[in-house]
Amino acid sequence: MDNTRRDDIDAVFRKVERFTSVGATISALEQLASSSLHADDDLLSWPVLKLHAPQWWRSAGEDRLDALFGYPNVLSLPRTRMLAGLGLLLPGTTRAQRGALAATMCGTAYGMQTQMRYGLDGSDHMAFLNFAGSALEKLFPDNARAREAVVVFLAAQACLSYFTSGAAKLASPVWRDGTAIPGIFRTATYGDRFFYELVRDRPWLAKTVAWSTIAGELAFPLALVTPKPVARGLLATGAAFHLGNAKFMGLNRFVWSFCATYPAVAHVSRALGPRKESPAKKPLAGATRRGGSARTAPRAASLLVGAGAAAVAGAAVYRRVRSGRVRAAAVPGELVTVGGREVHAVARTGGSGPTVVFENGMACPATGWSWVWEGMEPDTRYVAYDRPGTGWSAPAKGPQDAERASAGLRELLARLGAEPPYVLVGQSVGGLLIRSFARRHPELVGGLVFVDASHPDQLARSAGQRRTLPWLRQRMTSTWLRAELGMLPEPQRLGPFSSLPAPLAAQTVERMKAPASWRAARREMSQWPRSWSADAAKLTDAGGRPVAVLTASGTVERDPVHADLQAELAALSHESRHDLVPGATHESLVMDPQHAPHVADAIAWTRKRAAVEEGSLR
Amino acid sequence: MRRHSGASLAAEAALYGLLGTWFALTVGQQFKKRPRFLERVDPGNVTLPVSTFFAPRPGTTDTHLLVRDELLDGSTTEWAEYPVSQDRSLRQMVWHPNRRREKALCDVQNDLAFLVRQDKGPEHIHMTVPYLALLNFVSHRCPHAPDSRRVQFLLVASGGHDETEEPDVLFASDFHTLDTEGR
Repeated sequence: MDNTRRDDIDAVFRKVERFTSVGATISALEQLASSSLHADDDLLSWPVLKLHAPQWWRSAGEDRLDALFGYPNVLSLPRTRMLAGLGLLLPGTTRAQRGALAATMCGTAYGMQTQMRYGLDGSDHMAFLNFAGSALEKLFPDNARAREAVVVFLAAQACLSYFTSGAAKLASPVWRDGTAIPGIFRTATYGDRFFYELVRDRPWLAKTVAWSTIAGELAFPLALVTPKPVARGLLATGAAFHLGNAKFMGLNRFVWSFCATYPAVAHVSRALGPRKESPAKKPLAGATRRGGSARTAPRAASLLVGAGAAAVAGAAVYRRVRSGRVRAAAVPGELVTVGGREVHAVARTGGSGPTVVFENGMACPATGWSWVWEGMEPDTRYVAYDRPGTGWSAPAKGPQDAERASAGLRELLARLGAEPPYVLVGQSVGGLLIRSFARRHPELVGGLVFVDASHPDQLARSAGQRRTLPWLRQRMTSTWLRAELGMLPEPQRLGPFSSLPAPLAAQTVERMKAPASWRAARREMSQWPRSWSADAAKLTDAGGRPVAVLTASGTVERDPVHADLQAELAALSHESRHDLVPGATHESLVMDPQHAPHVADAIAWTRKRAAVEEGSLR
Repeated sequence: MRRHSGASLAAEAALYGLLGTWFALTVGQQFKKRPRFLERVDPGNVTLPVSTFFAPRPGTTDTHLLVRDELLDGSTTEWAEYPVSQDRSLRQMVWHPNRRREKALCDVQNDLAFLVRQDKGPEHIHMTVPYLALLNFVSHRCPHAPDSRRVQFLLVASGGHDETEEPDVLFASDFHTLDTEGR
């Protein structure tokens, strides 16, 4: 009777079981060969690990748990797994026996892995699924439809795993630019010295490997629907991929548990993929219906995609219109027309002494300086403005390189009637732009204040900053897309702005929901390494003008190289000061009422010296 | 064609429900969405694979475990590294018994580094499983000087084969008294 079930589906599971069992048996033997790992005085000691054992296990009683999972008794689990694995490899095992052995594999895996928690990987998960599928299939010996469903489940799990892996890599900037490859392979844990040396100085090769991996993993599910030769090619590529990972990454167990799913994928592929039909055969009624549904499916998919695209476009238009209304309704400063477009500026041109000109950090509107304004002397003249697209300023056409940024600021100051000398205050990348302005208009500049400012060589000299850059770019992009769709999570993304004084906090937070600021920030991200840094580096001497540098302690803690770079900013002039602000972060240095007075104090120091300098020239 | 009884139809429906739910939970797991009951039933996450392998942020550093002793006279020994990783070989493609230890140590260290990044106080960290597991390990499995009194361990991140990058200290434990009776 048992032999009657030895059909296609049984053949699939026979292969799944055998492949998975080879890996599981080797794994069990490896565990037994390094059994001391589970001893009471080693890393996976049960007296320690039982602290995070599941609560419901405790109802069994601590003595029983100790008897099962304490050393050396716990080794009975890998021993059982080894025997069950060998049993599944033996020819002539009945279906009932195979079902029981596969269930044993699941039970022991659950016990062992829940006890261990550490030292597990994706191959263990996939092996569990394979054995679980195999055991479930044996519960329905007479139901081909149910057995088929289990095969589909395994194939779907395999496709989901590969696709997820490819999609997660596609979403990663370090995978897209290929730097993930030397990054991973330089480690001893998952890398290989030979492979690392091969890709280290060949970015094109690293990028090729990265994109081949992404494309291969994303394409894997196509094995379900493509013609047989293509499907076979995809599976062969998958197997070669795992063998390569076993050699160069030490992922030997993945070969067995992942390749074990391929028979299930191939079986479903045969059912779903295109079939050769004999022209002599008349189409059956059912086939006609299938043909009908085959024509309907793409239409339905097109309709769905079209509806989705229309919804996204509608949301974007709505947000843009709403954003324009919000911009017009609540502008904290004034809108000045410069170069044919509106620029938002907050200015106080009446007063005395040098005019303070603020240059913001990336994606920061002028209102970010609110606490600093409050800390300045009442008669201080100042101008803060939003660069194109940021805050309440209209976007500009074309790239805003250092030349155009300086020219735009020069024209704005002239329009506002802001009198020189200017004390330029730049936060973050704003520090680069004030150097560019000072180099082009030295006669107008009385002093420079750098507020946790970027250094022109920052990306070249700080590995940490270099590594962060693609993630920052990715964050700007994702924030922009979320803003377009109205899905911006306020507290996390806009946190620093909410600490500004009322009512500017609410106005700024509301304004930062507009996608334009984030789109502008993305554009500035590309100008920063291309134009702004190189241009700023040309100012190597502030010409004796006073220079104040404020550094956030939090930035130095994250990146020690930052301290050296900040000291170099202070060295631009013989008349300089450099303050490290304890407890401050890159943003809170300006936007937190606790730290902003440090900035106001540095500005007052610089203005005083700039005024003396101006007086002595007169 | 064999007819199915009501019971077998119910069993079949239950199977579809199980497989569908399992697959849906696996999809959710990729987005770190996980029902609370699974935390109780399957806290080690044996049943649901997470397939975002090496992405979006792949690990690009090795974590090293260093140990030193405080001697009876109050002086301390030099930091000594406990070697874990082995160079790759063809044999490891089939037989790699050290891999579990490598991965377990890596997981424990990452777990501890995660707690440190969360700014949990030392009182909290000293009572956690990764801290106790490492302390247990360095106390008993790492060599100690005969006149050692207490032990301390250090986690250091390095660029692995990239020797141009400066190592970075991730975590330093307190000194803990060694059980000298067993030695």
